[in-house]
Amino acid sequence: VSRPAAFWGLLMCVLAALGVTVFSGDGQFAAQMFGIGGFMLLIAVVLLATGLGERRAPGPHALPDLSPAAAAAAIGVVLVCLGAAWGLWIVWIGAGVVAVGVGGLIRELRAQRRAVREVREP
Amino acid sequence: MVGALSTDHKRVGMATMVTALVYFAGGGIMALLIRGELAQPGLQLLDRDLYNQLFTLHGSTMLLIFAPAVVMGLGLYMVPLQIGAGDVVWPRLAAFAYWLYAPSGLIMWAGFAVKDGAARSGWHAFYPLTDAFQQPWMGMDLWIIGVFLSQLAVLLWGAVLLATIARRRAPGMTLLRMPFFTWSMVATIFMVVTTYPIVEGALVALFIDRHATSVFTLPGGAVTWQYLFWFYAHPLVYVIFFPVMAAVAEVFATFSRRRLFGHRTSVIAVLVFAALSSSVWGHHMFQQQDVDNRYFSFTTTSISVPASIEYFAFVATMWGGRVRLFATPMLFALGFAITFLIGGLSGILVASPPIDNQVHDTYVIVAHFHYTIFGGTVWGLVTAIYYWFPKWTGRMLDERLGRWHAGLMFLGTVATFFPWFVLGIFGMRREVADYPDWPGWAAWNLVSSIGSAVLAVSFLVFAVNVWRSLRRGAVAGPDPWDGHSLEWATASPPPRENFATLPAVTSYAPLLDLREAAT
Repeated sequence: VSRPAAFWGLLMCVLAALGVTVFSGDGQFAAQMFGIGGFMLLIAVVLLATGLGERRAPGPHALPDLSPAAAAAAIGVVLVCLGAAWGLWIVWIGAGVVAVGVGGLIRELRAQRRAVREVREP
Repeated sequence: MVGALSTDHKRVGMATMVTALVYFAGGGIMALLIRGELAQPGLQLLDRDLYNQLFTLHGSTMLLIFAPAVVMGLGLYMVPLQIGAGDVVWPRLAAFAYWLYAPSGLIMWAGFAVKDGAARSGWHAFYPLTDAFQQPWMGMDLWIIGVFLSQLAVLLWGAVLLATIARRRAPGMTLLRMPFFTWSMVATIFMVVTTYPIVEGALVALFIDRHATSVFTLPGGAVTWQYLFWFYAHPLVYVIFFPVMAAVAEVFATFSRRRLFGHRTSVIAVLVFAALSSSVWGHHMFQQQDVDNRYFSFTTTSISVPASIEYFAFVATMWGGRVRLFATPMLFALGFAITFLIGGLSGILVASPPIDNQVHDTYVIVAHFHYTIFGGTVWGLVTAIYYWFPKWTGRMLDERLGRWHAGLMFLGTVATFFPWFVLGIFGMRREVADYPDWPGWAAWNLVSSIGSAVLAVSFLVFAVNVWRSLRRGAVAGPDPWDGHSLEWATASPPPRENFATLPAVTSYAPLLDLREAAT
C-alpha cells in the first residue's frame, strides 16, 4: 500500500501548495496541510523501505482465540483516563490493571511465538 | 462473556457494530426528546439547560461515538474476508481497541448522572464554551475522556486494517483487484491516521487548559481550537461515509448482476475524494474571517466531481443490468442514493460563502448535515446490514418486514429533515430549545417531530426483523445474493480461519468471474 499512500500524500501536498500559492493560506494552514501530506509520504517511504507494505510470505501463522490480557490493558487505560477527572486513586488502580494486562500480553505473545515455531520446526 | 474477550476479527467487528448500534439507539432517544420539545413553541418537556445537554450529547453520540466505530466494525468484519485473509494483523490490538471503545459512550453519558449534568457545548465543543470558567463541572471532562477513548480506538482499528490490507491479501489479490469496499477503507484509513492524532492532541490540550494551565485561553486560542477540531471533524464526515457508500456500490453491482462499472476510476475518485475532504475544513469557519474563504469554497465545491463519478458508477452499473429492484438491500441502496443526493446538493449551495452568510447557524445547515449523515451514513449502513446480514448470521432477514422498514424510513427521513430547510429559510436558529410562534414555524416543526416518530417506528420494525430472523430466518447458505467478492466464497457465518480454500483471484469480482466462466 506504499504507492496509494504516496499518491494520497502527494495529492495533499498539491492541495496545500495550491492554497499557499494561488490563494492566501497562512502559516497554520500550511503547517496542517503540508503536515498531513508529508506524514503520509513518510508512511509510504517507511513502508517501502522496510517492506512492511508488502504481502507476507505464506506459511503457518497463529490465530489467537481469546485475549483477556488485551481487555485488561484497555480497561486499565480507561481507568487511568477516568482518574484524570475523578482522582489519583483511580489512576493508580488503572496503572495496576495496565501492568497486569501488559504482563499477560507478553505471556500470550511468547506462548504464541513458541507454538508457531513448533509448527514450523517440528 | 468469553466471546467478548475474543480476538477473532469477526467477533471484534460484530461486537463493535452491536455496541455502536446501542449507542445509536441512545442518541436516537435523545433526538426524540429534542423533537418532542420542539414539536410546539414554548417549553413543555425539557428546560433549556437539559435541552443544551441533550443536543450536545445527541450530536456527540451520533458523530463521535456511534458512526466512526460502526464503519470500523464493518471494516474489521468484512475487509479480511474480502481480501481472502484468515485474520487481521495484530488481532490483540483490535480487541484492545474494542475495550477502549465500549465504555467511551457510557463515560460521556455518565455526565447526566454527575452533579451539574453533562457537557453543554455542542458536539463541536467550541472554545470558550468548554473552558473551566463556562463549564467547571465534571460532565465536560467526561465528554473529553469519552471522545478521546473512542477516537483512539478508531485510530488503532485503522492501523490494524491498513496493516491487514498491506500484509494479508490472498495470492492473486493485487491492490487493483481489491473490492471497492476495501478500497474505500484504505481511503478512510488515510484520513484517520492523518487527522485523528490531531484531535487526540487537541483534546489533551483542552483538558490541560481546563485543569492545569492556559492553552486555548491564549490570544487566538478559540480560533486555534476550531482549526484543530474541524481539521479532524470534516474528514470525519467522510470517514463515516466512504465505507457505506462503497457497500452501496457493491449492492448496486450485485443486484444488477453486473460488475461495478469503472472500478479503477472509482478507486482513484475515492482517493481524490478523501484528499479534497481533508482540505475543506475551513468552510466551517467562513464566518470567522480567519481563513481564505475562496480556497475552502473552491475545494468544497470540487468535492462534487469525485462524488459525481461515484454516482455515475452507480447508474452505469445498473444500466443494462438485470436489476433486482425490490430486493431489500437494493431498496435501501436507492434510498441512500436519493437522500444523500439532497444532502450533497445542499452542500454545494452552502459551500458558497455568500449563501453560507445567510443560512449560517440556521436549520438549513442542520437539514444539510442530517441529509448527508443520516441520508448517507445511516441509509448506507442499513443497506450494508441487509446485504451482509446473511453472511454474518447464516440467516436471511425477512423481505416483507424489510420493505416496511425501507418505506417507513424513507417517509420518516423526508418528513423529519425536509421541514428544516423551510424553517432555516424562515430564519429558525439551530441549538435553541424554544422558538417564536410565527406563521408556519409550529406547523413545520410538528411535521418534523411526527417524522422523527415515524423514523423511530421504522427502527423498531428493523429490530423486530433482526430478532425474528435470528431465530427463524430462512437459512442463507454461503452466497444467497450471487455476490461478486471473496466473502461469498466461504460459509455463512464464516469459520474461525475464514476460508478452507480460496478461488483464483483474477479480478475485483472473482466469484462473478467463476460464474461467467461456467456459463
